[in-house]
Amino acid sequence: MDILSNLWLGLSVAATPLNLWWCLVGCFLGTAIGVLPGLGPAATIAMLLPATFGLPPVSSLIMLAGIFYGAQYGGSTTAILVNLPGETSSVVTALEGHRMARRGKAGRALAVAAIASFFAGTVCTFLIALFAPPLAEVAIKFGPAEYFSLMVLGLVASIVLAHGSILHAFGMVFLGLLLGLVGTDVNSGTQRFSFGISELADGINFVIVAMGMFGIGEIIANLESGDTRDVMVKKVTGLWPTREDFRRMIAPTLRGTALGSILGILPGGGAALASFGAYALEKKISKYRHEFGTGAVEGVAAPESANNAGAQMSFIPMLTLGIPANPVMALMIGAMVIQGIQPGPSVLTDQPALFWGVIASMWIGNLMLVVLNLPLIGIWVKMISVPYHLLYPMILVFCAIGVYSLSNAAFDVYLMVLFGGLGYVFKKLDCEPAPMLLGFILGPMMEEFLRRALLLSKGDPGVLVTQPISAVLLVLAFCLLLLVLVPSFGRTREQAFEEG
Amino acid sequence: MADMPIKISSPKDFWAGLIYLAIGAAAIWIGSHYRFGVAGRMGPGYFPFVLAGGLVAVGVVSFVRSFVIPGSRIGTIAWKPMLIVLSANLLFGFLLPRAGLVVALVALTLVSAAASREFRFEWRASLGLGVLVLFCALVFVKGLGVPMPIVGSWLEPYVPASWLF
Amino acid sequence: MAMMRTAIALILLCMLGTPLAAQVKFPTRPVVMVVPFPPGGGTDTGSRFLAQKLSERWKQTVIVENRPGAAGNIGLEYASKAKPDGYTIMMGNIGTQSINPSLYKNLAYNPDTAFQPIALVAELPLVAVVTPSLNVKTVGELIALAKAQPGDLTYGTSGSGSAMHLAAALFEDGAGVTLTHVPYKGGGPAIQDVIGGHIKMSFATILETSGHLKSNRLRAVAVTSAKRSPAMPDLPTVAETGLPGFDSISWIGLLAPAGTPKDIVDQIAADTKWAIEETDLGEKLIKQGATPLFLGPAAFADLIAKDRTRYGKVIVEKNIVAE
Repeated sequence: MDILSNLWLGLSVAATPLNLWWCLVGCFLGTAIGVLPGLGPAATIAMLLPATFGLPPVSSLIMLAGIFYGAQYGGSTTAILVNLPGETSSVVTALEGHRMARRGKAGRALAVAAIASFFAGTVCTFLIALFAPPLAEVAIKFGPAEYFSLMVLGLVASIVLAHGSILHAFGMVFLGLLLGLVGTDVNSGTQRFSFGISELADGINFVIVAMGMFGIGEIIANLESGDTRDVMVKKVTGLWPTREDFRRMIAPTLRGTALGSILGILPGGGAALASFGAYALEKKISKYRHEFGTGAVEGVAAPESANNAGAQMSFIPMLTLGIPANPVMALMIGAMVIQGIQPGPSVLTDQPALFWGVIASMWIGNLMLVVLNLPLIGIWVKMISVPYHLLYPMILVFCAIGVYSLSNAAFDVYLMVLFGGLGYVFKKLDCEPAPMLLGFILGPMMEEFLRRALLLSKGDPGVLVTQPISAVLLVLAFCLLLLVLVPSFGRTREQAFEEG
Repeated sequence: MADMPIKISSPKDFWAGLIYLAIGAAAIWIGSHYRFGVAGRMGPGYFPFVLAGGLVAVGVVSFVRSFVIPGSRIGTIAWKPMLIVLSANLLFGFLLPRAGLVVALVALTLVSAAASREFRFEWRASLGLGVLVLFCALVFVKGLGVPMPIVGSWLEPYVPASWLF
Repeated sequence: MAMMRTAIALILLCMLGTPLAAQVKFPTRPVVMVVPFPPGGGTDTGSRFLAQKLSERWKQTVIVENRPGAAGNIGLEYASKAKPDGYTIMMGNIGTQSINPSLYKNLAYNPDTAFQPIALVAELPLVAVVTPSLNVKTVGELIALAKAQPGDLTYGTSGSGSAMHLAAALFEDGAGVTLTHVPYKGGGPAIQDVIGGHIKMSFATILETSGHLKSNRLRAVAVTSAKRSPAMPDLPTVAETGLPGFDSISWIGLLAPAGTPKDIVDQIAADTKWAIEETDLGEKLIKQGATPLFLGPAAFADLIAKDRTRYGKVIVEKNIVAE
């Protein structure tokens, strides 16, 4: 069959010793970047771009791609181990994953994350091989109205994510949305909420908020009693997932992969939704949803498979149409241009070896990452078993350097301190940071798309429901919102009855 | 009536409500300086107003609810660790461009470690600190090229130029 | 007597030594090239190419330091405060040097005096591209369509006050038409929407559009520079096909903080000239859609001033604002 012969061609290209080596370099670098907070795959790839000039095009793309999805694996590692989500996609993994780590199940969480990611990667390699061109066509159909409705759906999913009070979930979401608006307004060029501080002109970087609220806030909370010996459970209950774990992760991984694959092909914001969409879905339909918030395997498997699926599928618009789905893809396009290759449909026909080689290397890269990461689990677990009073200063060091390295600005470090304080305060008040972070990510995008949709429809809001895809998404969002609100009314009424 | 205190049933809702109200109100006030526009053609002030309004609404509900529906107590607030950890980071941000990476890292580590009761000067921990600083300098500055001064502007005149890069 | 001889010998030695000292080459240690934009963009990639060549020539590393933010103002502020000893230089572009001073009222540096231009490195012409479903093939047809449906033709840009926006503003002025500006967070998303047909056209860089042009997802109407681009020699200019005298491009160039010694500025300029004209830097730039062009310190300063007046006028007339 055509597909098999293409994949065989790809494998023969990707499996040469040279390309295997560069794949390994990329995966290794990517994992390291993902583990270190602050420095993301985009900045790393930009720095390494000149170094790829001397390499054959296939090799350089394979290496850069390895960095990209390697960073997804690495980001999950710190999210699980020390509650530091380095990328937006690992925020959700931190929720359940770190809870598992606190209970001595870090090894199991890390392994589940790696295995779920690998599964997603494998499935996506086939999906790309089979459906890349038609999927890309669908992606183009998404205009501002469709994206807006998608963001609304994502926002409702953020509320579903919340464990505690729905009211505070709303509060945190609104707060996050507002914070996301700090900076320059795309549609008018006006600076908002920046108080004339030039560092705020481009908005607050996600990493600053994440490090502050998740990292510092958590550390302060752990220092409450002054006795830090019980922060992390010492007795590690095995490094490998139990049979029960495996059984429970099958369905969430499948669901996560499906969701991530769909969202990943949408350029500009689709993949960010993948991980928390998957988590929210699991929380609503999983048999074990009562365990969410205390370390449920499903809460790691679903978002991890979703974010890996999203990351890989974001190659589709780039490879088939030459449209970058995120800044990393834009850099890859730059790399191709430097090598004299015009990204676009012609790549498929003019350079099949390149196209299929990169696709095949994705699967090889995922395999390498699993092989790289699984043995490392033992080392990671050993590392976090360092006494907490020695561990947390190290965590603070990496947070601080990571944040500083974003724009080489001490101001960002000060801002992180502000969020650290806020993070701790909100923790004490039982207001969860996750919905706030998600509102922060989605807010500016929602506004941008809404205003653009209205600009293009000359002020007619009906466009949101007359366009079919947009209408469907809004209806879904509405239903999800109902699902969320109705049970909670029931709950508070019960509470009131119990008190009264 | 005069001596019956108003009971706050849920301190968490109370304070959270206040915070939402404060931030929301501030946002509305700041946002009022931006052009509002109309629904069909929103100005930069439209969304902030709507969102801040939502936040204020949530704040009001939370505030009112705090008197009516009981909730758990807040629990001890770790003022000292909070101040120590936060100032340690502020110190890092302040020292890094001026005194360089080495000094800033040492300051951050030592000050923040003081927040834990188990803080002691041990030779092993000090060695670990040295290794950490070296690791950061090598990986971040040399390896990844993050432009952090190893020795900052205060100390530059005293250090031979060849050490700076 | 012996002491006198020693003294004279010493003095003579010092005198001999002085011209030698004056000839200590620049640079004797690594040089920092500040780029006020994030990694991966057009300005950044061009800077890295140049930095590589200069490193080869000087046998000292030229480190690219990205200081992005506020449309370049953060990087400019940082570079303007650096010691003017030649060891910190900056890659600016038309936006930072000629447009921002008119767009932003409270700059943290004095745009007229903070920088000493060293050399222009390359010109980046823009291409007027339309979505294929739009039945327009020449500039003349475009203007006719715009006149028939004022305000209907939507064009995407990378933001208010960007080079893409100003090129369109100049086009509106020259042709006497009204278009509708749709700003995006960057050129890439704007082009995406042109491909998808959600907006109708854009004035975009060759780098961002060449792939789509080849695959017919976009149609190129004309290039905005006065002369045709070597990267796309078959594409006519706007001036040739509808608006005589139209010339709107972007450019990138090296600058140094004011006060940098003239001979160092001249040397860097000479080395940049070498890199552009005698190495493969030119080819690499063309591949990126840029037209390599060297202008020395004085000519570059002239260009900056000329563009500042030109675009300043448009910005005031059209009330383009980035508060």
